[in-house]
Amino acid sequence: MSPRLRILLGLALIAALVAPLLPLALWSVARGWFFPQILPANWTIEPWMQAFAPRSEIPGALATTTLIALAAAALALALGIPAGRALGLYRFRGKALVELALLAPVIVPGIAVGLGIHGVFLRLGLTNSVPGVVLVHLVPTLPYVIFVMSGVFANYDAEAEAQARSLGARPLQVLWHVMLPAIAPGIVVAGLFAFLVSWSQYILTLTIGGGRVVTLPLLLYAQAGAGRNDQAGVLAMLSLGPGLVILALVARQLTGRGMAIGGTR
Amino acid sequence: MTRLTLNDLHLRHPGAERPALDALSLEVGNGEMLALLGPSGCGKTTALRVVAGLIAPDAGEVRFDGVSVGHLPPERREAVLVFQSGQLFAHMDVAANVGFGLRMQHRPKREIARRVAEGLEQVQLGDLGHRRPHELSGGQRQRVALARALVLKPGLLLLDEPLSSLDAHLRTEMRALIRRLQRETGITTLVVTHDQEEAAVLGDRVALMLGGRIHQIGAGATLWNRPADLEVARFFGGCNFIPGRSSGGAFDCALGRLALPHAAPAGEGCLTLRPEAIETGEGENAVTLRVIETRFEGLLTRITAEVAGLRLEALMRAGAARGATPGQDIRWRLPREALWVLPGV
Repeated sequence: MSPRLRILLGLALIAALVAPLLPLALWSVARGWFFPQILPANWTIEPWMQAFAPRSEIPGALATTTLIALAAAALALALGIPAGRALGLYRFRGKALVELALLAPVIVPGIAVGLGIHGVFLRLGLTNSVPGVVLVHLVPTLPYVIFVMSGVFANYDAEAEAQARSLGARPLQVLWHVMLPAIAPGIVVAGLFAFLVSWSQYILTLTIGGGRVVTLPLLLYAQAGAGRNDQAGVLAMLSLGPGLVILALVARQLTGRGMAIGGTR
Repeated sequence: MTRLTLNDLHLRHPGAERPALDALSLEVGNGEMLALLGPSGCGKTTALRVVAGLIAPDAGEVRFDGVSVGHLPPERREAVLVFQSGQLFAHMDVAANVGFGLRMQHRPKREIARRVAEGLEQVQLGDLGHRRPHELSGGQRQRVALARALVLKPGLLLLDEPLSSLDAHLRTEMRALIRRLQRETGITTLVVTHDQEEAAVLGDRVALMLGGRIHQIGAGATLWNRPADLEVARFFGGCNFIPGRSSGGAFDCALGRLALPHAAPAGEGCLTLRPEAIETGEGENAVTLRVIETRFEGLLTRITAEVAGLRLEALMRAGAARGATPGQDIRWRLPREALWVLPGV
């Protein structure tokens, strides 16, 4: 492919991805925008002022969403790294079955999972609470972490750990000085994935949070449903934020040119 | 320095048909370099890992200076294992790799820096401290791995095939370096190898391990020329086995009565001699054979000859081999000193 063609295709791809977002961006800064107009007649930052006004729900939701996404990502990493290690390094009976079971939450519709878990969480007193929402966010985030990490560990040479032990490192020192540095790029990618998946979660937050735990996606749906295009626009822009930042951070890894999912050898 | 004793070690890997270690017993003296030689899959690397504490044996004991270390984890044993691949930590530079063990012991920074510099000097890599492992050649990586073990001043050094990943000329150089460092430091060393030549050059003694146990220990030349049994002889490339009976310093067999060297075992057995020991010409133990086949093998030529249904193979230099043409008779001398009897075979 010639360089020029490649650049053209790249631009076309970017345009296709960005185009649907443009109206949202415009709505967030428009005052009155009606049919035959291609661009809004009047510009304003009023929707943004409203969104961050003292009585607005948005700042609180932003904080809640961030907190939940951070907690869910951290928890998913804590569980997913050991699981990924087991799947990546060892061969054992029923491994294919375990992998399938781990994928199941991604395949099964969220509403079915959410309603099933709701019954359990109700008995445990976890519904309508942030911890409950964090826990239920593990359903979609954990599989991502496990699959990224099992890929990382498949390229990881556990002999390095044996070598470190023989050189006098205690198990925790091996973990800290040998394993973590070697898999760090993978942890970053898996953690960012988990963060994003949790950040944009709607159905599970709604079923378990019961409307009491208010996150950005909840507000976005509510405002869009109420025909408040200006607020929906603001919320959409806010929701995009972390995704863009993360994309900028890991783009190199995701294109396969980087080392993150490549390995440690 | 440490004296290593392996006492009756047994180990069977899960699912394996044959044991990896089968009643393995071995003693490595204080300051000695012992080469543990064997074909791949004979259990020699497993033995090394058991000594390092990375695998627990099913039964038996590992003792350092007579004290059992079975309960000690690898990091608390006086032994350091250098892996076959070198196993440098890719995310650290050379100096950090060499200083790894000292950092794990929380030594003062200044002491670490000094000992790392000394260690790199020892392996002639003084100016490469800031390189990353992937910027090094295979030989340099192997030397860094060696320095990383030596800076810890271990009581026992375990080397797993230290030269197998190097090409031929580097191997000679590295061999000399290992030998020199071992002499200088006096660290008791157990080196595992599948290469006979390497074992002979590196080891003060050579232990031949086959099927999970030691078949013979001794000086390299003893294993070559005075094998303890048929398997040892075969491992070292022995191919001439003549059944017969040894008595009164001579061996009666299909070739006639051959004079034996001093102290050869008596009784029913099998006469063996190495193919390269056979010479052409007349003299003691000269026999007539018919040449069957000659095969060019580079430096040497392999000649197969037969008499009375008995086949002998000889390896000869080009000059000596020139006279041999298939179908012709030839006179071969079987030097008395090169003969050995494997009793009871």
